[in-house]
Formats: sequence, structure tokens, C-alpha cells
Amino acid sequence: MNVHSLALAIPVLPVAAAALIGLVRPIGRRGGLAAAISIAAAAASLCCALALLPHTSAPFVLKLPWLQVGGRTLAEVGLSFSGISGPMLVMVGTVALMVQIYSVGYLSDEGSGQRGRYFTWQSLFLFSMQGFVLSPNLLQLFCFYELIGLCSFLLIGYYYERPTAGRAALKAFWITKLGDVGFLIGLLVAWVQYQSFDLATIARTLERGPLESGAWLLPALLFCGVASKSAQFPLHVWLPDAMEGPTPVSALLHAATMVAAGVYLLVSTSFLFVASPVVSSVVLYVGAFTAVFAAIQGAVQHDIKRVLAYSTCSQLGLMVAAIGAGSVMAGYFHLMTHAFFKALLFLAAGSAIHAVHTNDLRLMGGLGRGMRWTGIFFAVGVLALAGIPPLSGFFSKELILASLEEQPVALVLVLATTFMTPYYMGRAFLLAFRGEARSDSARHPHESGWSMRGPMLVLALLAIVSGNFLWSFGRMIRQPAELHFSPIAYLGVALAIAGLGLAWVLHGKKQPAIDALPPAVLQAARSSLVDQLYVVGWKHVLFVLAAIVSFFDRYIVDGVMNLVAWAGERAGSALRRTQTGFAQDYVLALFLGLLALVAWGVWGT
Amino acid sequence: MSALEILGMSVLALVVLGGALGTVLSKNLVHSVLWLALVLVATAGVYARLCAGFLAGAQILLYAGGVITLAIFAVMLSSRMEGGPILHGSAKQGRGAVVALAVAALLCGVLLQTELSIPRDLPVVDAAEIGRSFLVEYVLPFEVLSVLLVAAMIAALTIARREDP
Amino acid sequence: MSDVQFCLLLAALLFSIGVFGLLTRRNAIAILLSIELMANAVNINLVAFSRVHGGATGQVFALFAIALTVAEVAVGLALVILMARQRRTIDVGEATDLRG
Repeated sequence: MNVHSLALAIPVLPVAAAALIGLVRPIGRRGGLAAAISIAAAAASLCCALALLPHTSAPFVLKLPWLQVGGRTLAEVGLSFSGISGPMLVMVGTVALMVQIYSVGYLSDEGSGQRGRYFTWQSLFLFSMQGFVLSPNLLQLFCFYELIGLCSFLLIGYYYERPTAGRAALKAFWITKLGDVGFLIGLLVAWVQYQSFDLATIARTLERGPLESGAWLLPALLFCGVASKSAQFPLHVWLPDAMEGPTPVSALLHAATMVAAGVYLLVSTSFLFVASPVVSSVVLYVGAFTAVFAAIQGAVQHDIKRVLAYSTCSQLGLMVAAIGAGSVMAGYFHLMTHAFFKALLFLAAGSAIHAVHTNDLRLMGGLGRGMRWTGIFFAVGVLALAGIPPLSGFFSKELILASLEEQPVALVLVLATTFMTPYYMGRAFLLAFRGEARSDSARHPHESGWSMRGPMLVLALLAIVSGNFLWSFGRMIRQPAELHFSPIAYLGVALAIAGLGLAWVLHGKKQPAIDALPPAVLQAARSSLVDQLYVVGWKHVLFVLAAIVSFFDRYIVDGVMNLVAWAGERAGSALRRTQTGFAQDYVLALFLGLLALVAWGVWGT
Repeated sequence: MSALEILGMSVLALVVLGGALGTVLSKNLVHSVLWLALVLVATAGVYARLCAGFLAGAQILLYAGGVITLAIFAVMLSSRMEGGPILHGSAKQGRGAVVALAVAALLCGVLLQTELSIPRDLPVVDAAEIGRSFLVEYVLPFEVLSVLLVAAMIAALTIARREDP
Repeated sequence: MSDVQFCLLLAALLFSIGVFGLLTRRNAIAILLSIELMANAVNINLVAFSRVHGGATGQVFALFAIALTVAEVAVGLALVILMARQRRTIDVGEATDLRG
């Protein structure tokens, strides 16, 4: 098998599975068969991605012309494999496979046809994500970006009988669409400025020399798309609500892959951001602010999945900030490690939810006694996320802190996050797995089967060891990978331990306090101000504009049309009166015409 | 032209035009038909004046004889079917008069401006000459005309026939 | 003015009177009679010109015209009778079915 076929197989296998399950009714109705096909395709796709990994030193591009106008090729479709896409393909494939295997156990009490639907969307999502990673040009990136958004909508709304699920799916779709408008305008700007959508071509153009003006426009617009998909402030509001979907979906899309797509977009277009310091600063501060903001919100949630959602939002902010500070290595590596331990955390939480039939932390407690494995896995995830050495999170967090050494404001915000993150994760762990059970179902939890434990085990191992891949990763993406053991690094670890310690002090008792902050602060932290602002904008800005435009359309544009029609009708009615039906009137007209003609002929010209 | 000729022509013209006016202005339909008969006969006289003797004879035979008879029959039949008094009267005479006067003005104007030279000594065209023309130069229209007359006859029969109950 | 010109003028006036009748009369048969007047005027014209040019052509065509007019009147009167039978009237003012 040559590398080209391998690269092609990576997205094609899942979409074939999706088509098979989705379009062939007899397969779609059988949940077990659908799951088997989907998992097989995902596994095969992952094998191809792994097989390609050694070839990152020899990048290649496969392209076909797509849109041709007047002999010029406007856009192409194809695959681009390089050191940047290689690791991402493997990560996406791994997490997707683990999640699909886990789903078999998690959704075991769903209907057979429902599971068929689920695996169709899962395979379709895998295709969209891998296609996105392999896209060589902005237009194809955009298409797959939208496909990813669609799959997110479909999967969040999986429990479609629940109205909250439907609303959450729609909200996710709308908010990501809002950012994607910026992306779309960016496509136009890219064409105007560089006459091409192809990333390699644009990079080469910039290497030759910077643009005279407007170099900030394209990265700024692309960042709009990034901000919406990767849930940066103020477009983060969809992510907590997206937890309505099944937990494996949350693990895959809203922890590891879909939200990471935005960061990946930043990584693959980083040459644009390097050329524009203003936009990079914006990116940096948006990321840092989001990190702290989300961390505060995560500390006050009662729903375990919402804690994890805000945590994801916060960690994405760290990745974005790192790239904004100029370190693609830090941001990308954190994306990798975060994918593994966050997915692990979600799956472990899902395991607990499955046992207790509730997301609410207030109804959990002491689960660690009945669910040893799940508890251990969750703990591993917490430690990785906190950045405790030698787990992977330590390495990536250290890189991020190092990249911010020259940005004091952002550094302070990130350090605050470094303190809060272990605190709220520790709180979640302690409230769920330690102490006394606070409800009947929590008293007698059952451990999950191996279909669910297996993937968690794999992810836990990856969360522990993936830090050591730092150097080979650095070689692949052609960026320097050094660890400085500066004072900042030690400070980071110290803050992590302090955060965990605080959590233990506040929530580690047999009957712990659920919320340790004063009620006023809690209210403020839980407020949905951003959501309310969106509503105001919608009602008072958008609707007003729409009313104005609609008035113009109805009375002026339509009015002209109606006027023409009315005039025609009036003229017709007037002319009608010449048709009297009286034959002699017609003869009269005939004679008049004849007279006129003859007179003109005789005395005219 | 001699004074007698002028007088003769004027009388003829008066009869023709007077009869025509009678046809169009008479309130009684039968009177209109009779005025028309007068016009047709006087026209025959005009033809005679123009040295078209055969035509004058044909005019009297066909028109004054045939058409008038036909018209009288039609008037009687239609008045019986109508069941009411024979319609008279006209509508919108104003505009009709205007158009008619305009036509007259146009035609007369053109006529009076044209120079017409009439050669003096022309052979008189008699019936033999007409007959010869029918059979030599105009034989085709002649034949077609006979077909047309048959067609007209059949048409009239078909149209006016009473529906079988 | 020669007698030919005189006859032409006569024909023109006769034609105009026919036009007047055509446009004015309401009775169908009266309209047919007016058309007869117009046809006659044309015939006079033809014969007059035959006198101008010599030859039989004008008179031959006048004969044709007479024959045609007779045929036309026959069919026309048949139509009038039909109309009288169906609509119980021969007033053309009543026949406005083509009114728009």
C-alpha cells in the first residue's frame, strides 16, 4: 500500500461506513451490526493513520481541480499530509475509536434503530474531522468545518425527545455558525489578497515578503471561526449546553476533537498570525481571559459534565493563548495531551453517570468504593489536567507557561487558571467519588463493563505516558521542544498542588460542603449574562434591522411591481371599451384607417 | 358636349343620387328596396351613355330583376319571422355623415386633380367583343365564376334551410 | 369636363352615399342594400375607364363584379333569414356577442 492510498483511506473508510449504516435500512436498524461496521472502519482508519506516521518527513499533497471558471482553477479538492497533520490524525483516530467502543456499553439500553442512527453520525463525524485535518486549502477546510458543525448538531440532539436537547443542538449550531460567518468573509479576503485558497501557496507568498496593508484582515476573520468552534469568549455559550448529548459524544466532540479543530486551524494557519502582531495579541488576551473566566464558572457547577465543559473551555483558552504568544509547539502539544486526559475524564464521568443515573454532584458521593476502576481513571485524569509531573499534562502546561514569559498580564491570568483548575477538578472528584453517598443510587453503584473500562484504560495510559512524546512530536512539526525548568515552572507545579490541597480541605470530608463560596459570589458566577446579551442583540438589533429591510422589500420593491401590474390592468380596461361588439363600429374604424392611409399616400410624403 | 347631352347626363345623375339618398334615408324598408330599384335602372342608363349597351341590358336583367326580387322576398320573410313592425331608423348618423363626406372629399379631390385624356375615335365594344373576351382571355375567371355561383347557391340553400324537427 | 369625368364623379358620390348607409343603418337588409350601392359605384367606375382605354376589359370585369355581387347578396340574405329565425330580430345592434 503506498502512502497515497493510506492517506485516502483515512477519511474514506468512515464515510463509507456512515453511508452503509445510514442508507441501507436493514443495517441501520440493527444496532449491533451498525456498531461493528462503524468500529471496524474507525479501527482501520486509525491503522492507516499510524502507518503513515513514520512518513511525516516526506510530506505530500494530492489535489484535483474542483471549481474551474474560464480556464482558471478557483479551487481544488484534495489531501495534504505533513508533519502537522500526521499527529492530529492519529489522535483523532485513537480517541474516536475509544469512544465508539465505549458507546457500545454506554448505549446498551437504547433501541436498536437508535444506535444505528448514533453510529451513522459517529462515522460521519470521523470522516468530517479527518477530512478537515487533511484539507490543503481554505475552501475545503471551510466545507469540512461546516460538516463538523452539522455532526455536532446531530449528535447533541441525539436524545431528540428532550426539548432541552433540541434547543442545545440548535444553539450550538447557531453560535458556531455566527463565528463561521467571519470564516466565510475570510475566504473572500483570502482570494482578494492572495488569489488563492491554497495554504501552501499563501505561505509561500508571505515568505517572499509581507503584504503592504491589510495583513491583519485574514487572520482576524479566521479567528472568528476559531473562537466559535473552540468556545472562546464571547462565543463560548454553546459548550455547556452541549452537554445534553450522550457522554461519549461530549468526550469525543466537545473535549478532544471538534473544539480542537479551531485550535488546529490556528496551528495550520499560524504563518498568517505570525505576520500580524496585533491579531496575535488579540488572540492571546482572548485565550487568557477565556481560560480564567471559564475556570471560575467551572468551580461553581453542580452538574459534573458542566464542570468538565467549562474545564474544556478554559483549557482551550490556554491553547489559544499559547499560540497567540507565538508558541505553536505549546498550543499544539497541549491539544494532544488534553485530548487524551479530557476524553478520559468524560468517559469516567459517563461511567459514573451511567451507574447513578444522574449528572448531579449533589446526588453522588462515595462512588469510589463501588467503582474502583472508574475512580482511579478519573483520578488519573485529574492529576494529568492539574499538571502534576510526570503525567503528560505537566509537560504541556510547562510549555505554555514558558511561552508566556514575556506577557505579564496574560501570565497572571494563566497562573490563576493553573491554580483554579486543580481546585475545581479536585472538588468534582471528591464530591463524586469520596465521602458518603448522598442518594440511594449512589449507595449501590455497579462498575461498568469492560467495553467501557477498556477504552478508559487505554486513554489513562496515554494520559500518563504521552508527555514523553514531546521530542518526537517536536521533530514532526518542525518546532523546537525544550523544557526550561525556570522559576515559573516550579510556581506552576506549586499552584497545582495548592489547588488540590484547597479542594481536599474544603470538600474532602465525609460530608463535604458542596459549594465553598459565599452565595453572592455563586450567583454572580452562575449568571448567564452573556446569554442574555445575545437575546437582547437578537430581539432589539436583528429584528429591528429585519423589520426595516422587510418594509423596504414589501412596500418599495414589491410596490413597484404592483404599480406596473396595476397600470397594465387599468390600461387594459380602458382599451377594452373599443371592443363594442357592434360591427359597424369596426367598419368605421376600418374606413378611418383607409382614409388616413390614402390621404397620406396622396398628399403625404 | 352639346347642351342636350349635358342636360341628359344631369338628369340621370340626379336620379341616381336621389335614389341612393332615398335608399339610405328611407324609414320604410320596402321603400328602401324600391329606391334601390330606381338607382339600378338609372345606372343602366349611365352604362348606355358610356356606350356599354350589353352591360346596360345585363344590369337590368340581373340587378333590377334578380336582386330586387330577392330583396323583397327577404324583407317579407324576415318581417313575418320577426313578428313586429319593420325596423327603421338609424343610429349615430353624425359620425357616419362625417366619414362619408370625408370619403367623398377625398375621392372628388383626387379626381378633379387628375388629367384624363379620352381618345376620340374608339371602336365601340359590343356583345360579340365581350363574348370573345370571355372565351379567349378571361376563360379561366369565367369558369371559376360558374363554380362560385354553384357554391353560392348551395351555401344559400344550406344556410337558410329550416331545421328538421 | 368630359362625360367620362362626370361619370367618375358620380360614382364617387354614389360610393360615399353607400358608405353613409353602411355606417348608419341598423337593419341588416338595409346594410346589404347600401353595399349594393357601393358595388354599383365601382361598376360605373370600371365601365367609365373601359371607355377611356378602349377594349372590353373594363366591361368584362364589370360583368364579373355584377355576378359576384349577386352571389354575395344571395348568401347575405340567406344569413339574414337565418338570423331572423334564430334571434327573432334583424337589428345588428342586438348582435353584440363579440363585445369585449
